Amino acid sequence: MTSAENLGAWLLPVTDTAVVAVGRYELKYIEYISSSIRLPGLPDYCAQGFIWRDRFVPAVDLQQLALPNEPIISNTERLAAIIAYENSDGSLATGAIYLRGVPRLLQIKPEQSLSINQLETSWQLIAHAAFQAQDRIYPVLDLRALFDSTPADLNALH
Amino acid sequence: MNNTSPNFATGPSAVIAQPPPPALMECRYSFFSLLIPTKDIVTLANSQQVTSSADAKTQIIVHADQPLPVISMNDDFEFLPFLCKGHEVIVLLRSDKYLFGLSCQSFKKIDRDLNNKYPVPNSMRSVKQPFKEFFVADGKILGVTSAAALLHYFTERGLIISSQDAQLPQVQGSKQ
Repeated sequence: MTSAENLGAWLLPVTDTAVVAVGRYELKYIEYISSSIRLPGLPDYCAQGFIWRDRFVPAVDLQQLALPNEPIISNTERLAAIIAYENSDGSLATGAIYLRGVPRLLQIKPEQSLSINQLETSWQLIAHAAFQAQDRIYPVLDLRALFDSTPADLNALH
Repeated sequence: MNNTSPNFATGPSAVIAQPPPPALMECRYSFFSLLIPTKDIVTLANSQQVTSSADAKTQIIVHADQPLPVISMNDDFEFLPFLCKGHEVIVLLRSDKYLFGLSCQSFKKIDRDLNNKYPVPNSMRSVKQPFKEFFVADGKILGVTSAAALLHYFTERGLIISSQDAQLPQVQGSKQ
């Protein structure tokens, strides 16, 4: 089996309609999070995190990023994808993405890849790749941009 | 046979070990708390002792015959030109030669073990936050700071606390 045949992505439902993707090996766990902890003074999409295995995991709510006028969800049990990424120091870091549904693993082929310019504008700056499957275009999240940038830095990109 | 029990309560080796004073005190807000070293805290005052300054942009409190600036910050880390609603306590802090007050809802000593201290993750960092590390307790963030760090933070955010003779600090201006 070639590495190309090994390509895989997890599809993460992050709003009622939007689905994003992360690499097969970037998604580590799926957990129900019983309570989130809010850090004030931040945009709603990145204002929460939770304690998981004795560490504080920052979480992003992409629904709040894509649809910022929606009311923020807190103090309810939520499904979260716990992901790992390499930060700018070269070490492995952990983050979480709140989910609206159960992730699904999809096999993809190199010829399915697209330019990120074909994504909606709101996804272009937090995606580092895109692909098409079953007539849908999926952004592949740039986890380092999402979790290793401050909200101000990420906002400046927009 | 001597039935007299040794009097452990009064013997020279019977000094009951006193717990060390708490190293940190908790200034409580609605959605978070600030943990401040005990050594930085001069005293506490009631919010009713606060008056508006002459320019009506800040508040002052008189301590030892000295007017001191009082900084009031809401739960979104925004400075207010008036005392934040629900803030009942003024914590007087000393950083080097500067004295200043910080309002909060309530104040208490830390009477529990705080185990894990976490750095603020990059994706949750903001210049608006008055701390870089925190504990978590009862579902809330407890930000670790100090009088010196707060003074630096207020200055960075445009609240200039200065003094002509180092005894009469004044808040000269404020911006968000």
